[in-house]
Amino acid sequence: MNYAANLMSIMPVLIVLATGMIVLLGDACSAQWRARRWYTWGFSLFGVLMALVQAGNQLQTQMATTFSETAFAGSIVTDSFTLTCYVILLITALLAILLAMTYLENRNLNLGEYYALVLFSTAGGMLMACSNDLIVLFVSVEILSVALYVLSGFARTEEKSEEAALKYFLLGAFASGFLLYGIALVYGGSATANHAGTTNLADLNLYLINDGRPSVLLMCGIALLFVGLAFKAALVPFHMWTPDVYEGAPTSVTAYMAAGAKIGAFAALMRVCSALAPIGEYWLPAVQTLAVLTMFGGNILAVVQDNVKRMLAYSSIAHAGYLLVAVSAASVRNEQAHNAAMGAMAFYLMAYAVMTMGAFGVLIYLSRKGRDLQTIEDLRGLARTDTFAAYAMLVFMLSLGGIPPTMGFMGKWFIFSATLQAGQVWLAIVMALASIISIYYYLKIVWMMCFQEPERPEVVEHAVASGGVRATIVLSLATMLVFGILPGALGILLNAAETTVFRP
Amino acid sequence: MLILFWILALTCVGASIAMVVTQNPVRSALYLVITFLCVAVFYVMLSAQFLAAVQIIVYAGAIMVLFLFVIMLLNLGAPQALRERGTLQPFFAAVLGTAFVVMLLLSNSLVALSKVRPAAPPEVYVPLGTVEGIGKNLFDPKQPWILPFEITSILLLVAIVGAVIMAKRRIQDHTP
Repeated sequence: MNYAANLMSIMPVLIVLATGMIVLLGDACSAQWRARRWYTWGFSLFGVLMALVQAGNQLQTQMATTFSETAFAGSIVTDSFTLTCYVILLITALLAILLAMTYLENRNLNLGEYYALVLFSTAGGMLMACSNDLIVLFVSVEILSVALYVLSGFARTEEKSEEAALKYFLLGAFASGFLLYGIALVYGGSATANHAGTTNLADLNLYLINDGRPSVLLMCGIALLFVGLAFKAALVPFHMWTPDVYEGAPTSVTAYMAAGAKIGAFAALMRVCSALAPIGEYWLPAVQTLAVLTMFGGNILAVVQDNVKRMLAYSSIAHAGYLLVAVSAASVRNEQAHNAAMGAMAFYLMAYAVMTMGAFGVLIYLSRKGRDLQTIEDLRGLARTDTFAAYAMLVFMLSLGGIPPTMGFMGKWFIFSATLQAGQVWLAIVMALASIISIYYYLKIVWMMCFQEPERPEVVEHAVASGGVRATIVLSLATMLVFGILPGALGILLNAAETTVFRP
Repeated sequence: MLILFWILALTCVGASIAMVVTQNPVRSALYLVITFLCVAVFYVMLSAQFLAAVQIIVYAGAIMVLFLFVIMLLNLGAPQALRERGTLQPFFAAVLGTAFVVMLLLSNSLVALSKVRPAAPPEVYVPLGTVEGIGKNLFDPKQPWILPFEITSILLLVAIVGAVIMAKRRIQDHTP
């Protein structure tokens, strides 16, 4: 494979990276704020759209051939799962950029670097989805995380934002240490008498198929690897940072972080788990325990929250639990169940991204100049004062709770049936129970908005309501309802994700 | 060679433990220097001279100086300030850490290590840690390391941009 073909296979990533750099340079060069404002925002949107078109194109050719190709001497792989994750991540980035501008200007934070960092972290997430080597995985995790550390501290003069950034950075660096140590132990543990170890996931998979029983060293490595990735995905014993960071970060960053980081982390987790599938009986119980803890922990802790951002943070933890159920279902040796679980996961990631961006979009829409919307009490009687926001929020809450006819319901349904197909009946039941708890706090918000009298009946003028924020909300709403009612329309994504990663 | 290895290994691990348990940040940093130096000698023993030099210049030299600067600038002299009281966290950490170490020691690696005898040198000498070796490994298109190497530059760019953003206290001329 020559250089051009190598580069072509990661074209969407390259487009995003190039856009980020051009935005950065242009921001430094243009003197007038007005020109800079439209240039950074518009050009980032343009770049993401271009990458989206390219990824869609590649996905289409990929589906015609159903051929997964590796590039750069096997360090990355471009299959339909990769490309599906590209598409979902790019949509997330698109919505995040749409959301950001007026919100940032209201808080006096509109810098070109914001868009560049969002683009870079998107590229990091995309590289995580395509990495076929643990070293590439590590570097791309770092790209995603470092950009997010900075973004969460973007409101530099606010104490909460600073605290969020510091907390996220310190704990994140610690988790990266675990990840790297795990990679080193996997390398050592996969060595044989006449072969050095490997960090390549495909080679690791082959080694495990041929060699059956893993060494203790390898098991330790896998455990540490899971710890590192579980931190990035905010699974329950490793979730402590999530509420504080989500609360402290500027809301537009929280929206992006909640969706983007989770998509990247789960794509990486899926890659690692697929490679390790031959020894599934050794680590699957651990993943299932994590899933149960995450679903219950996230949902139960969310019930007692008063702060909307914190509540959404805990709810995002619970959603990570549902996604982990899909990972567990995808790790069985049953081909059909594996495919169904991969498709369900892709669908749920898409649904999760859209509904999270939408819900945070409403919060941004409602935030006033210099002050974010904080408690559930602030939403009291919203249906009277701002019908659009209230009904949009209603739909997002129903979708997060998994009530038809929304995408959230269909996503949960797909994961549920895939888990049943995989024969993990108890896990499916636990998931259903956990999502019943979640309905309580989602409906609490709905109740507060629709069945309570507003404190001040006059219509409040929201400073931030701009075209971009409205567009994000409307786009998310439309996506969620259309694919909630006609999930088959997203069949292209579902089928695409039903790739057989590392299956002979 | 094996004796040298064991001496260095024990020094290295001992210095790391001392670094963690010492209350005084400056001493802690100095113990870290010892660890770095031991690792550098390990690299030399593996015929990775270039890596050893880089380890000393970058880690023991530049990064440690930075650490010490930060410690001095923040004036972290008072050891009491760093001490946490009344939590069971250190206890649990010690138990879990010991369990992990025992597990690693019991793994096949130790068994393999005890069977090691001073064997004949490997037939093919692969210069992994020399300048040529690293250069060939990083830039050979047949090796998988060129992509991680290149995307590391993106990581550094993100870190630089982030540092500039966080350090800028005032932003001018961005709103009407």
